[in-house]
Amino acid sequence: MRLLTSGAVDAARAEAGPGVLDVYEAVQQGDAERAAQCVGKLDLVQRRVCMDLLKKLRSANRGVWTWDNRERLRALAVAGAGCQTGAAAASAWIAARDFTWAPAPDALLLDVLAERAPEWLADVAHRLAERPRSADISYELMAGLVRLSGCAAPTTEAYVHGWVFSHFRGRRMSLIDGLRGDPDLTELVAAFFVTPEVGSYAQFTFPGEPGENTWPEALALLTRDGVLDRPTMVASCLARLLRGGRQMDERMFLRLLGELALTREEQLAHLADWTALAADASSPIAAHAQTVLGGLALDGGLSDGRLADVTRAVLFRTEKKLVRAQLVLLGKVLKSRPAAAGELLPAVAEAFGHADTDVQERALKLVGRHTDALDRMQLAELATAAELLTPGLRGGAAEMLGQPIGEEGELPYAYEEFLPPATEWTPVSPAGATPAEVAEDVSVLLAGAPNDLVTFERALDGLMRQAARDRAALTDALRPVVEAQRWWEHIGSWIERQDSFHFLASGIEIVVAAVLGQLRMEVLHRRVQHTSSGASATRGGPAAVRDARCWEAAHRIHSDPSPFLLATPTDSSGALEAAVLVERLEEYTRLGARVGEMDFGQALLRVRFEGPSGIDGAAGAVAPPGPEGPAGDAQLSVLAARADALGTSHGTRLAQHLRGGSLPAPESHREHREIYRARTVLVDLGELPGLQERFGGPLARLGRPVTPAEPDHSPVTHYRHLLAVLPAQPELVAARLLHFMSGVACHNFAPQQGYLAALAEAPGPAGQAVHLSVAYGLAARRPQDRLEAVDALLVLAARGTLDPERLGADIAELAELTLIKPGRFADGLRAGAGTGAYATVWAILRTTLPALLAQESLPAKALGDFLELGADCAERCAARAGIPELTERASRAGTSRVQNQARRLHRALGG
Amino acid sequence: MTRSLQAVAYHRPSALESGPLGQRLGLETSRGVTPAGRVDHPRFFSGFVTEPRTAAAALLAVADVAAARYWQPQRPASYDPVVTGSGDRLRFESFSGCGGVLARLDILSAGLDGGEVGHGTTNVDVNHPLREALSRVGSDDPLHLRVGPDELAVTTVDGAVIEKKVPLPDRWLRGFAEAQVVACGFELRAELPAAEAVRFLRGLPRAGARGASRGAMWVVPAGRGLRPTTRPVPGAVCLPGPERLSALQRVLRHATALRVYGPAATDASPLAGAWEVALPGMRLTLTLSPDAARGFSGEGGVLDALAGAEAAEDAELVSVLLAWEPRIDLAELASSAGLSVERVRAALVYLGTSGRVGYDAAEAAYFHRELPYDSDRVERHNPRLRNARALVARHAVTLDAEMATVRAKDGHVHRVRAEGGVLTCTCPWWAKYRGGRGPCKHALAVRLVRRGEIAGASPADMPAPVAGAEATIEGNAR
Repeated sequence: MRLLTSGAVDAARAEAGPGVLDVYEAVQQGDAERAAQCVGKLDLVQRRVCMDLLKKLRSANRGVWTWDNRERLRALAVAGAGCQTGAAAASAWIAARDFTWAPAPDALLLDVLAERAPEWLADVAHRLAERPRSADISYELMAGLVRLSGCAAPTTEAYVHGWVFSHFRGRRMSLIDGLRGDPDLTELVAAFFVTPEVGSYAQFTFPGEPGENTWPEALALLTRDGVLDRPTMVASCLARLLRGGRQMDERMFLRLLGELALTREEQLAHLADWTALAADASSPIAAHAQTVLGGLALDGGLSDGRLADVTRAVLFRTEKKLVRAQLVLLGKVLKSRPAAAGELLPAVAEAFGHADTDVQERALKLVGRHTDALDRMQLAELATAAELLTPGLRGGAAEMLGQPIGEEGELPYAYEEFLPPATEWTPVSPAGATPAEVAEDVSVLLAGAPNDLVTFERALDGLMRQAARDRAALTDALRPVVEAQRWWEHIGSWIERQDSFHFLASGIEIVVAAVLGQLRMEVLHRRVQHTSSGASATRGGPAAVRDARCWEAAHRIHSDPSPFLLATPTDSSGALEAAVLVERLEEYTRLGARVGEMDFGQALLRVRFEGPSGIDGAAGAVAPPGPEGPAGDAQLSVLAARADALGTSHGTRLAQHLRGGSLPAPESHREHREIYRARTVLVDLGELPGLQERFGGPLARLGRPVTPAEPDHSPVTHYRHLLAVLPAQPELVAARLLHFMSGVACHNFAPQQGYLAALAEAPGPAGQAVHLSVAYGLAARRPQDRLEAVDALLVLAARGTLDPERLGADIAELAELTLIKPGRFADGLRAGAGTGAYATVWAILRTTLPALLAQESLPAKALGDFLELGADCAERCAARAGIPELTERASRAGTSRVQNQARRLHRALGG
Repeated sequence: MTRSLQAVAYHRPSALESGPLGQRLGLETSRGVTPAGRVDHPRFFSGFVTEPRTAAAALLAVADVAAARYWQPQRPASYDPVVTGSGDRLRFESFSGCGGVLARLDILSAGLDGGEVGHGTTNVDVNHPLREALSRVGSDDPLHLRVGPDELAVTTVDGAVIEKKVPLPDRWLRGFAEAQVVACGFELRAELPAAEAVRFLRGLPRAGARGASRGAMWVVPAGRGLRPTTRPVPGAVCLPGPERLSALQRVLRHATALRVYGPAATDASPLAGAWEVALPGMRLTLTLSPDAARGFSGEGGVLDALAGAEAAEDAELVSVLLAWEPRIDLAELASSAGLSVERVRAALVYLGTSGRVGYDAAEAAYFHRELPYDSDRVERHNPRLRNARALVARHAVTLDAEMATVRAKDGHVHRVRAEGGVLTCTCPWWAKYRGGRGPCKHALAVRLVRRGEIAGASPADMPAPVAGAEATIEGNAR
């Protein structure tokens, strides 16, 4: 086994002298030591020749890594480093990525370089130190070069990290002794303060006695001994904390600050730093600065003006702990020096705007204790600030300050609920008029838009229309589109092998393949038989309907293209206007075209019976009743008569369907079930009678009872297609996908973006499964995922289909499940309330709270969150209610958060 | 990735010194462009700022963005901010290392006290001790600000003593310039009072350990505040990569309002937007790219303008007439240039891509500033435009009435179709973005050919495009 050679290597070998060949042989034998000795014997000219050979050898072996060649690569690295003449080239050679896998031993490299001039060595050392840390240059090598050259140590990130870590690794000497003996200690410690991520070493114990074997301790000890300059250390440490950075880093310097044990004079000398840290630094550092400033304030080291400044800054922070500590501190200061009230209390008013009502209350109490010391101007100023208080505290504040809070006209407080505007469905634009336009739609779907309903429907219709008109032109237009997708060449075998679609495929692939003649007729025939019989083993429910439609279209394109499709929806919800369907069927009859059974069945299911006015209340007034508008009862009977007049069996079926009216919602009931090895609440659907009687195949199967335990592979990624199968019955999809939503809440699955909002928007009644889906969504792990559920909740409320009591009961029931974190509900609902929907959220909590108060297992924090949110909502929307459980809880003694918030809510509700 | 190395030189480090008469903040300048041409260490301002604490916090926010990478943050970036003196205001701009966030602090005349503001653009030095000193500015002692060298120092110090070498990737430069062009389509979408602004900005998700999240969120004005939502409902404004607004936290205490500018949401694709915090006498604006993962450089909104020869000539004429105006009056500029307002606007877009004008959404106006980088090179080397020219040079484009066929190197064929002045294509790239990121290279190549730029010949040699379908395309594209 030898390193690979190439023609260039052989040519260079032929020109090389015996000394150079010795080096080459040593490298090929993997003997790094001998290679170093042989290099040592070469003169300058020979080294150039040797370098040329070694460079070629290196490039011949680039990217070839075998275990056997590791030693040879090491030898190559050593020999090459010795032969390089320029400092830049030498450092580039040593740091080359080819050798990171087989690094040369540091001692040998140092040997081979030792004879060079000190300036040259210093140059190499500094160049190596300039490399990023990820280059992983050995610190021992850099330090050895620095020692040989006698130059100053580099202070780069890589070098400082290597230096810090070198005291840990394989050292006999203790940390403190190692540092004491370091000639470059001062410079390196100075660099230590500006190097990122050195804080990660704070957690390690280094060699040495306890009390001096960590970095903060050792540095503090050296400062105490006078080896390091104390004022510089203090200033650098504070400067580092001021600059901020990762928490891990800051911990190191906070500990160092603690070890340095600053005297009162030193603390006083850095007042500006402490103030800035208390205002802007991360929580633990700000807490430390606050302690220091607090100590100074109590012993008179801090002027009232500065204390007021600090107070304003700290009270602006979000951390309750810091804010409360500052209020306690001010309480103490004011107790000892009541005269300072005039300067300090206006600063306390900053807390009136704090997000936490408990903080507001504490601040108000503090102000209340010292109002005597204030003049009228100051009282008026405080009264202005008190407008930020939560409504429940304003009354108390007005009494305390002797001034009305807010402007006269504003009272009584008028509440206005904000809900999002109703969804506007966009009409589906007609299919592309030319093959090129259809090809563009197909291109969009193939590029990855499995959930784009409108483009899919337009493309499907467009493919059918163009295939009927001129299949050759359509084939021409489609060919470049499919060829641009690399996977397309496998499409034929892929479709024949797979029983169902890939979850990222929209299904248009099958139809396109059929247009291009890539599917055999018998395959198409078999599939159509299989899918439209409703016997598919793996797919049921709405997904099977969509599959069957695609196969039917593909089959028709191959055998007898229909002029256009009947089921193409008229708007983006998937609904189809009855008038449009009747026109389409009339056109079919005129042309004598054969009706596709799946197409026709899907068209019937999509017919919209009630206009938005039936469901949407306010939104109905906006929709103009035009020829395309929703059909009323009278219009429906006219349309049914037109359908009857066609005299075809499909015409009769359409007429019957129109007269029969919309399908009744299925019976549903909730069940506790074990799924994904956790107890969850799911919904069973009863039979949908209309479907079983009127349709066959997958459409009839859609009407069968569903228990969530029965897998039907409805892909949630395709939710728009699923919802568009029966647009007026979102319940059918919601119940089938409820197991997924329970996974979102219990197992932290990532929710499907837009799914919940689409469920809520679907133009049909929202039943148990939809409400339960929203409840599960509110318990998603990430706050931005909970927003999905908040959106859905607000949409339901805006449409008037929200049943707050049902959702409230759902939340209370789910909060009992082991795997659900009840605090997330409160957080999600707070996000909803924060948008201005306090009354809606209160309507939900009105049902949830009594149930939660009765739950034994609920964590106190979560209960506190719920009660606080309830109190916020009730205060804002001036709700009035008597809740016996709450009255009982509010009457208990105690000052816990739960008790405080329970009393606050009780008060707000007029109790 | 192509990139160049830029060396900036300063007399001495910028510093904040405390003296008997209060604090003196000296921001050192490097080589810059002024009305007098290229000048070393120009001086733009010497006077007081009216709100020292706010100004210090806002300058820190600008410096934060300059040192940040919001996407794949392995190593901090180290770009110095750019300062522009516009006669009545000072603008400090910085662009994040990831190329997705542009920060601009406008210190308006109300925020400056005494001293004339000069004209010109250059870099200012920002260093560690300066950052620390700026975060210490706490009291409202008067703060003297000097942008440019001290008069005394000029006479005593000769030659540069501080030199910084910064790698400037082409993508970064192109993004810095192009962010302005993206911003010129923005309109005011929402305005929040201080209390609501604080609540909203604090409620945004924080960056995780691995940088900004992928997601974009949308916000809708609701009442006095903004309601977050997950989808672009009507009236919604996109907030792409909300973690990237973290630099605004610094100035939150001093904010008087938050204003949001952006284009109208059309479909579900995320959009760029500008988030402006109003401060006493100042405005701090962060312009965000549509995705944390991609900078402004790939937006391609200007490619049509770049592909034409006319805009380049107009731009040359217009650039001569600019004189560091704080806001460019289009009508006035049009009359002095003898061009129509439309053509001046196109010329300004062109100048924007080479970093020679910026756009201020708050004033809805361009302002003149010349980035102190060699950005001409970049604008010529836009990869998509270069690829399109290569296609034209290979004779890959065949015109056929309103359809055109482009044959790629690997033999794939793409069809480009013109409809209502918009060129659509069947390539997967176009299918993925559907025009959201400008024309694809095939559409650009077709446009070049239709305009008469044929391989090997410069546009000037070519006959004017024939009237008919082509002319309509051009007209509508404007």
